[in-house]
Amino acid sequence: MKFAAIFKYRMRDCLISGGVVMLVMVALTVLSYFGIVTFGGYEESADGVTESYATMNFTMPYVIFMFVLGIVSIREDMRLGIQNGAGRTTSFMANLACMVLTALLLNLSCIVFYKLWALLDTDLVIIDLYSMAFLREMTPGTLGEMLLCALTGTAASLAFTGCGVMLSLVYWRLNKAGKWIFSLALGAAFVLFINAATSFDWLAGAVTAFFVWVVKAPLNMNVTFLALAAAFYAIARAVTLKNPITAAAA
Amino acid sequence: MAIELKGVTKRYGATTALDKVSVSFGGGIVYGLLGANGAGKTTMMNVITNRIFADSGEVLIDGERAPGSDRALGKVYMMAEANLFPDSMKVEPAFRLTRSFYPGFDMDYALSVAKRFELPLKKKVKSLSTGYASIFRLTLALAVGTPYDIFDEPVLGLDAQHRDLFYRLLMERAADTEQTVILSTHLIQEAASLISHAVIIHSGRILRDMDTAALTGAAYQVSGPAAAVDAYCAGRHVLNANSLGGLKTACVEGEPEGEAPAGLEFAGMDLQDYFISLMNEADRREAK
Amino acid sequence: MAGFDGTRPIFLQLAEMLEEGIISGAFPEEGQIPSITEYSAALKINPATALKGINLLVDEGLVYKKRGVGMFVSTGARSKLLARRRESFYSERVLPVAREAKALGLTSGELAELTARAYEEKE
Repeated sequence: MKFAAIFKYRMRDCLISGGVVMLVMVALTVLSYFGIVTFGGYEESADGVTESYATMNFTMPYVIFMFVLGIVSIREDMRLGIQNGAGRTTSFMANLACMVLTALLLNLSCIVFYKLWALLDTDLVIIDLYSMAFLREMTPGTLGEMLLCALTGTAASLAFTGCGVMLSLVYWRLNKAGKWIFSLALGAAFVLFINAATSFDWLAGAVTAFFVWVVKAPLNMNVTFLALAAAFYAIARAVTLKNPITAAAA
Repeated sequence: MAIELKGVTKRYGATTALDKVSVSFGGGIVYGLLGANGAGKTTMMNVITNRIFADSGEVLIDGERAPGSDRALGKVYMMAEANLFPDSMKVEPAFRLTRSFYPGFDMDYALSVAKRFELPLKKKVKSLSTGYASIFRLTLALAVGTPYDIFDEPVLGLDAQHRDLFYRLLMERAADTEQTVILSTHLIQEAASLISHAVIIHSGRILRDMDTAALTGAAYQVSGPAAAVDAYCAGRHVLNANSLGGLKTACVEGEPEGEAPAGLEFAGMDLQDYFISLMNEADRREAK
Repeated sequence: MAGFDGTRPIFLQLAEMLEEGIISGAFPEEGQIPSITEYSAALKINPATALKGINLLVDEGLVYKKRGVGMFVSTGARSKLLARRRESFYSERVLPVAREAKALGLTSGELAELTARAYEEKE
């Protein structure tokens, strides 16, 4: 009952904003096709002739969109839930269900674009995260490949959604001083890690080995993304178990 | 069937907002949760509805632990000062959204109440003035139809005419439904005739939890020459006393026995007088 | 609020209001009186209080309930109330006046004179 109410509200919102993002992406693709907008680069071929080409990418914009959606939706749903007599778990799960479904729908929609683009047979290259890592072509060819692209894209989206949801909740929970400390600590940890990775060979080796492992097989990549999503969501869930649900500052 | 708080404590840093509070609300009557600003009223209501967690103690709704339970939490609606609706939400969609959560929400009634208050339905909730924001939230709370209905400072920013209308509507609902209502307010005078049971809270502690008639009947005023009043008060529990020249008025707990001694006069107390004497006494005790 | 005195129980004051209404003829015998809901909404008083007040009159047989219809003033309620008022008139009105007159140094004759004058006073 309460789950359905939150799910309905959030899903409607997700479909509208996801639809808008999809439309923008289609528009950009069309503009790229006509060369009005270019995302691309050039490549030096063996004989030294520079060849330019245009590219489009759906996975990354969707991943970024899902990250933002995670940030903005979770507080709204927690507030709406508690105002209307839903337990924290219910609100949290309803939000999660909407995020998974939206990520899946967006990434599945890519299949249609890939298909259409294959039909048009143009010079515009649509790059996909999965095919870039695992296929020789930038764009998936068969339906099976496209499905795998969509699934990997969904896993990547969820890792970033989880990150967005977690950050949103952690910042909600912390007071002003806490926010500063957390932000600075996050930055410091990042800088330290980069420094450490360049200073210590064993760490650099381990990081490299990890990335090599991730791109070695589709399963590895998917497992990594899903593990990240699970970790972020676990932290997020822990925050919702105790945080005060307050109104947005006016 | 009640909302029960058992030994609920909530601290914010060094301040104790609720100090081992045990109280229950039920029986389809109108409760007044009375206390000064900052006494812990909102904290208590927020703990009941799981907006915040207690540090210790528990909240039961019809015997079920409230935090995390949709069934328990769904029985309580809280009209809070804080707006928990999304920024972009408009008034009428917010009504519909509330109905999707509460099957008992009476849409026709909500629209009729909105009309009587002239609440603009097409405006964004966030852009409403303080008074209309209160009206928006109290309309939801009046129409929601949950077994327990909490109004936290419902008349904030309302003009006299709208307050009057709200009190009428609230009493009409109270007469026509089986709802248990908790009216949390610092406006004692206005609440006095509306409530039948008063829970008085001061610095996070429940000072009184009683039927209003029993409460005001449990104290009286004695006035007359200061010396005579002092003599009368000796050995009696005096809540509060005021002197003006040689005349003195004391609020004494208990019921007057027989006729007033010569030169002295007895008088009853209304809820506000009683409340103020109680607060003064509590402040004095804390100052010690 | 609605002219209630906060120091006396509201249900008693409501009962008195109703009695006044019956004596003045505002609520004629066999006429319907407002419901609990109407009283609590109009006077902004707790419904339990309104019920308690009206029940005082029901208990005395001044008002009776018709199931599902409402509450009505009983036949003979007005005369009953008037009789009761006359009884209490001495203790509640006359006696205090006499005491006050005594305190002011008025003789019983002077008080009688004042009473006679007040009786003739045009409203």
